[in-house]
Amino acid sequence: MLSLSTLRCPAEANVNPLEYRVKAAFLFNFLKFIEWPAATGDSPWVIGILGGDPFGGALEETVRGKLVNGRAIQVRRYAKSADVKECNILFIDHAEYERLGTPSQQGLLTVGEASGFLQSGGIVNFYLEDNRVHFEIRAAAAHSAGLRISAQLLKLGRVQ
Amino acid sequence: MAFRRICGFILLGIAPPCIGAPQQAPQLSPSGLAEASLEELMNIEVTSVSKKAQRLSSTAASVFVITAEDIRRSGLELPEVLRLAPGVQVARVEAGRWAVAIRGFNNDFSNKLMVLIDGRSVYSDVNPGVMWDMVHVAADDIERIEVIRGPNAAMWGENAVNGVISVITKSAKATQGALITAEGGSETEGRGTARFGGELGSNGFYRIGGHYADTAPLVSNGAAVSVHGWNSSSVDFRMDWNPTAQDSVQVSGQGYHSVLGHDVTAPTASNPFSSVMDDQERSFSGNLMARWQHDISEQSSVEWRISWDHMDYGDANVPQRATTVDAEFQNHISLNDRNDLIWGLEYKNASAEMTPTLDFKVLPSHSDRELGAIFAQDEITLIPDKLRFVVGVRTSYETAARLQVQPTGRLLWTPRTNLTTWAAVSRAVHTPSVLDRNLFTTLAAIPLQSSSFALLTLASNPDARPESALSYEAGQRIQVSPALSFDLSAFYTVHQHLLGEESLAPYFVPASGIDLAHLVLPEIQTNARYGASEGYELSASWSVAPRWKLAAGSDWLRIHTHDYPGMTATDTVTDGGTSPRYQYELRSTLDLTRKVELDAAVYYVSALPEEKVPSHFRLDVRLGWRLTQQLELSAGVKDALDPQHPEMYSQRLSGLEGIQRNFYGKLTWRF
Repeated sequence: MLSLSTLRCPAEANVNPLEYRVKAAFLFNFLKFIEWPAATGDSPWVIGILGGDPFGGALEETVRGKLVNGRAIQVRRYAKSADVKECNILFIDHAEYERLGTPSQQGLLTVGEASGFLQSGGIVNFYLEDNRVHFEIRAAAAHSAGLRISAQLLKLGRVQ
Repeated sequence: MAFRRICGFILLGIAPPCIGAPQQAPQLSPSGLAEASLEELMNIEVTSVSKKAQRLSSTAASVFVITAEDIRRSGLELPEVLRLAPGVQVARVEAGRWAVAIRGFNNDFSNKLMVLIDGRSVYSDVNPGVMWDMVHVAADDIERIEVIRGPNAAMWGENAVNGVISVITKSAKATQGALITAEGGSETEGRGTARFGGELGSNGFYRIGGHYADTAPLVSNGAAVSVHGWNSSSVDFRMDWNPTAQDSVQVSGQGYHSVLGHDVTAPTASNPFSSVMDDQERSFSGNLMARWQHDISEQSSVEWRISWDHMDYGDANVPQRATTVDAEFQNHISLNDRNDLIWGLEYKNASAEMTPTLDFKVLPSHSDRELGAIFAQDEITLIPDKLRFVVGVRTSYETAARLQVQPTGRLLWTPRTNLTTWAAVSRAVHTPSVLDRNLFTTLAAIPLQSSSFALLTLASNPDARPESALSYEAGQRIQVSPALSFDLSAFYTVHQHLLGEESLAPYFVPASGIDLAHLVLPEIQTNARYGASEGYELSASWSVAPRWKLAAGSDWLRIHTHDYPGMTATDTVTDGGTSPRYQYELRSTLDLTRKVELDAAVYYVSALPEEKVPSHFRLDVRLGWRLTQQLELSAGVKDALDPQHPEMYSQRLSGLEGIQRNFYGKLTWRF
């Protein structure tokens, strides 16, 4: 017999909306708990997505109308690593980081969700444990990118 | 747009277990999540279990969900872990066999309960029932178990008369990396599992795993009933692949081997009238399933599923080989804002070959059965967010049962988001199995005073008709506060044509050849009884403190049946003798520190006087210690209060075996 429950929810099959809504909320929170090297006045924060977008609009909705340190937040999409500039947080979908590479730039926090991500140069990586979203941080990479991660974030993440 | 309405989360204020003080759990919309703290974000369950609250509040049926966390902290495997759900009766009959039922009529061949694993049925059309010694899903691979009490034939098919147990495994994406567990105990002599998950290309994940387990034999008056206990091993895999954003494919399979030891008492027609053999039953099975879900649009999706199942069951009484192929199609359409429609088709082909033994013959020994079915269910919104009416029907044609129509009508009223009332009327049938119709057996040889003896025989009625049930149910769910909730359901079911053993007039057989003259006491398995059953199930959940959660449950059941005029039925199953009148449970999960857990559970099952099974208090205690991120130790005792106790009389062994207390220790290593 089919169906996973007496109440079916078809759209959850591929992209779990809740998993990516939680990850979008994390990206928003990272803006609050990380110090970037040079404040750029009033220009908005930029959260970028490299390659495929698994959020389905959740990221835009999360940051809409919010301010961090008085600055608004913009969401941009990039097709190639070379296109990435003036970006604060770059999210790379698990399927893309191998294909597109993980750019290393000053002041760029790269966030991924695949098991080899930190080894290939990423700074923060999401993983699932017990059905919950956790993250791990490569402190040395954060330091080389000129980012200061607050103690609160370091305490909650798995630090490598 | 309509899908978003259904899948959007309606907050019922249920605080997830390990979160901070009884505050409102975060709203799960993107803007709501943006307000959540980091700790809260890390505690949100992102797989479909988090939709449990919304599902339960808008399900017009009696449902209990056993989560992966419940399973982990109970230390129990399938089917023992089903004890956590009120209304489910779990009785261990032999080292590897269980009798599991919902709402009564339990025995080795519990025939009114459908069990599915990821949508694939493990209910046997031959015996009938679920052969729990051939069912294995590693505890760590289970995402959740949905226990749906009551008839849900319209959606789940035949033989879901008293309930459905749907086991859903974790996606391959959620089981990445390596996992090794090792467990040893006084009763679980040894169990080991190994699992590895990785990525497949850019859009896929897989996992492959295996297990090996040795369980001690049961005991009778302190002595082992058999030299051999139960040994099982398996290899299984699952693969998930999303070729596009609208498609998801799942392929899974398993190879399984089991060796079950026991003493078999075989009656013979001459002195000493019974011989005891220490026997080992070897069985193996394999299954494969593929499932493809495709989102056509925001309003519509389709799913195809095909599964293949082969089992070679070395049962001492009725060894059998069975192959089943099952294909299903389902379409979910949101017609407009008011109608949510699901409809589908199913085709099943089951063939089985039974080998005759000394005392058990199946005539004909080969069985071929086909099933074709169409089902549909419409959920109609009468008053948005407040009143919904669900109507569904399943129409099927099957070789043995012929044409069957199983309708259901349900009403769901949600006057406030924390209060749900539902009511349902449904009809369900149980298809006579192969053995229900074709079995001829000699059950026992009874010596008589005049140095003669009597043979107790059982034959099945080849024209036995399906059992049918009409069930009236109602329920109430209350979310008193974010930390406290109650769920009550009650039912009254009218049963017709219950299959039971009827006694016919004894007759005398004169001596011939080497056979002595003897009396024959014939019994026939046929539609012997009718009647009703009624009862209730109650469960409560209370987050006492951030680290301490309590769950309680109780169920009460009364079965009253009568023989059809002119019949004398003798079995204890249909008269309710194998079902406890009431059961209670209380479970506590406590996080002593961030790394140490203390879990305890008490269960009470009332007596089965006709079966000579006394009432039983069961206490399970478990201590878990997370040494590092990767290594976890746990130790505990199951059934702490009784060195041995019986749970159910075994029909095939004609005896009552005792289950021992189990002290165990387990190591879990992830890397």
